[in-house]
Amino acid sequence: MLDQARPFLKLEGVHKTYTLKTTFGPTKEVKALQDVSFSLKRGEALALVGESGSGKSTCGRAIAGMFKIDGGNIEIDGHQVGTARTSKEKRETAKRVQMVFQDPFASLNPTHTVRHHLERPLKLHNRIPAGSTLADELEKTLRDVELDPAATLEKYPHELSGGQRQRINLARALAVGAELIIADEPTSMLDVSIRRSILNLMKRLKDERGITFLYITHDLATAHYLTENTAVMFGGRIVEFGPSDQIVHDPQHAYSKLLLSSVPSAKTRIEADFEHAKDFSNFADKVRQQTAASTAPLEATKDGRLVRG
Amino acid sequence: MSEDRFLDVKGLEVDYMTLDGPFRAVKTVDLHINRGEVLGLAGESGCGKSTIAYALMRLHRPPAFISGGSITVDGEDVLAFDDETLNQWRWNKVSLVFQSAMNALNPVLTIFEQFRDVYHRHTGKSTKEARARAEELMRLVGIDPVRLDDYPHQLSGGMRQRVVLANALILEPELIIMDEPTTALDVVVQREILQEIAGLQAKFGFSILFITHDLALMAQFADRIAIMLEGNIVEVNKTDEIVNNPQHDYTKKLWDAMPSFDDAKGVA
Ligand SMILES: Nc1ncnc2c1ncn2[C@@H]1O[C@H](COP(=O)(O)OP(=O)(O)OP(=O)(O)O)[C@@H](O)[C@H]1O
Ligand SMILES: Nc1ncnc2c1ncn2[C@@H]1O[C@H](COP(=O)(O)OP(=O)(O)OP(=O)(O)O)[C@@H](O)[C@H]1O
Ligand SMILES: [Mg+2]
Ligand SMILES: [Mg+2]
Repeated sequence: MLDQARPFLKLEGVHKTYTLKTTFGPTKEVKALQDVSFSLKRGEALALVGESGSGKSTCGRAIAGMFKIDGGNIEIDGHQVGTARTSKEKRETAKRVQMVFQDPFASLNPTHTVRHHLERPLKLHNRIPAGSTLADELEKTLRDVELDPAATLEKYPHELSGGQRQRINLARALAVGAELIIADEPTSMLDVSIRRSILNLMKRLKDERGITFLYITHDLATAHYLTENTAVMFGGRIVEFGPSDQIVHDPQHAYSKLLLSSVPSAKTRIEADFEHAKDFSNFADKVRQQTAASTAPLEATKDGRLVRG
Repeated sequence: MSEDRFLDVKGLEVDYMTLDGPFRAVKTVDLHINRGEVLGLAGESGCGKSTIAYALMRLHRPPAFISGGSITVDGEDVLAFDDETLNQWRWNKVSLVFQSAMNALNPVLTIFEQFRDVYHRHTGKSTKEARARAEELMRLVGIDPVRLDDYPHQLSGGMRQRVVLANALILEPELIIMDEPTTALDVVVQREILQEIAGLQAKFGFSILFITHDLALMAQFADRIAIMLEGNIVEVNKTDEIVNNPQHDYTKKLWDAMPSFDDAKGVA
C-alpha cells in the first residue's frame, strides 16, 4: 500500500460473497467484496466512489462490524473488527466506529426528541467527564454540529429540515465518541447549498477534532474537498486508489475515466436519439466488461497511485 | 414548440394542517407541461416540490389539503374524479417516481411480486405476461432479470432506485413525475438511464415533470425549467435562458451554489 506509518483503519484482502436463491434458476453468487485492501491514517478522510452495486456500502458495513466477512482482515486502531464479545467490548467498538446513512429521516426515531437521541449515547458510553454535566455535554455536542441547542433539543425529527436531521445523525456519532465515521451518501438527499454545509461540517470535524472519515458518495465534484485519497470501486474491487485531486483531474483506469467523464455539466445535453444513447451505452458496457473480466493486480504508477491493469 | 397543454395547473394551493394552524406549502402556483415536453422543477429543500408532485396525482394525505386551484390533465378535471376513476387513471395515465421510493419498496415481497401486483391490478394479464414485461423493463434499466426474484434488501441502493423507475414505466403512462429519480445512482448509470428515458420519450411522446436539486443535470435534460422558492414559482423559462440568462436573484444564487471540479467552493 501507500506509505502509511501507522494506519488507523486497515483492510487486508477482505472478501464478502452473498448467495442468492432464485425461484426459477440455480442459486447465484454476488461477490460484493473481492480482495479489498486499503488503509487510512487517523484524522484523514477517504472517498469511496464507483459503480452502483460495486460494494461501497458493503465495505462500510463490514468496517462497522455489521456482519462477518468471508475472508481477510479489518483492523481499527489495532483492534480486529468482529471479535467483540462482551457488552463492554461492543461499547468500545462503537466508540471507534459509527455510521451515518443516506436517508436522514429513516435513521432517527420519529417518536423521540433530539434530546433523547443524544442523551442515550452520552450516558451509555460514559461521555460525561468529571466536572461536566449532561446538559453541558448536550450543548457542546449540538454546537459541534453548528445547531442552536435551545432551538433544537426538544424538537422531533419531522420538525427538522433534511440538513438539520443529518447534523443530528453526525451529532449522535460524536455523542458516542466515534473516532471513525463512515458516512454512506450522507448528502445525496440534500440540496446543493445544504450539501455544502454538511461537507464543510465534516471537514471541520476532521481538521479540528481529528475524526477519521470514510466518505461513500456519488458526488465526485465535491469528494476531493473533504478527502485526501479516493478509492474507485467496480464489481467488488478497488480499481484505482490515490490522491483525490489527481483522480478527479487525471483518472488513469478506464472505469475511473468513464465515471469522471459522466459527471453532469450544464453545457452538454442528454441526447434524445437512440443512436446516441446506444453509442454511449455500448462504450460504457465495453469498459465495464473489460473491467469485470480483468483480474490483474493493483500496481503502483510513477505518481504514487495504485491502478489495476 | 407549439402549445399543447397536457398538464395545466392553475392557482394551486396546498396547505398542511399543523398544531399552529394551516401552513401553506404551495402558494397559488400556475404551471403547465406540453405534450412530449420535459419540465424541470428546482428549488431548495422544503420549498414544496414534493408537495406539488403528490397533489398532481392526488396522492397527498392528511395533514395535506388542496385548498385552491385546478389541475387539468389531457382535458380532464383531476380534482373532480371519484375514487374509482382516480384509481384507473393513476399509473395508467400519470405515474410517479417517489422521492426515496427505493427505501419504500415492500420488504417482504420480491421485486417481481411487487411488479406483478401493479400489473395484474391494472391489466388483468397473466403472471407469465407480467414476467415478460418485468424482464423487458429490468433490461431497460440495466439490471440482470434474474434479480427479479430478490428481496429489496438484497439490492444495492442504486439498483432499488432503478427498480422504482422501471415500475413507473409498466403501463406506459403519458406523464411521468420523477421526484429526485437518480440521486442514488452512479453518474454513468444516471446518464444511461436519462438517455434511455429521453429516447423512450421521443418515441412514445410522453411528458415528464423532472424534480431534482441538481441543476446541471436538469439543464441537460429539461426543455423548460421552473424555479421554486418558498411555495412560489419565481421564474419559468426555456432551459437555455435559465442557464445563460437567469433573471431572478434566487436562480442566480442556485447556480452559484453548484459545486464544480475547478473552483474551491465545495468547502469554504
Ligand atoms: N443482504 C444482501 N443480500 C444479498 N445481496 C446483497 C446484500 N447486500 C448487498 N448485496 C449485493 O451486494 C452488491 C454490493 O452492494 P452494495 O450495497 O455494497 O453496493 P453499493 O456500492 O453501495 O451500491 P449503491 O451505490 O447503489 O448504493 C450488490 O450486488 C448487492 O445487490
Ligand atoms: N406532514 C407535514 N406536516 C407539516 N408540514 C409539512 C409536512 N410535509 C411537508 N411539510 C412542509 O411543507 C414544505 C414543503 O415540503 P416538500 O416536501 O414539498 O419540500 P421539497 O421541496 O420536496 O423539499 P426536498 O428538496 O427536501 O425534498 C416544507 O416546509 C415542509 O416542512
Ligand atoms: Mg450503497
Ligand atoms: Mg421533496
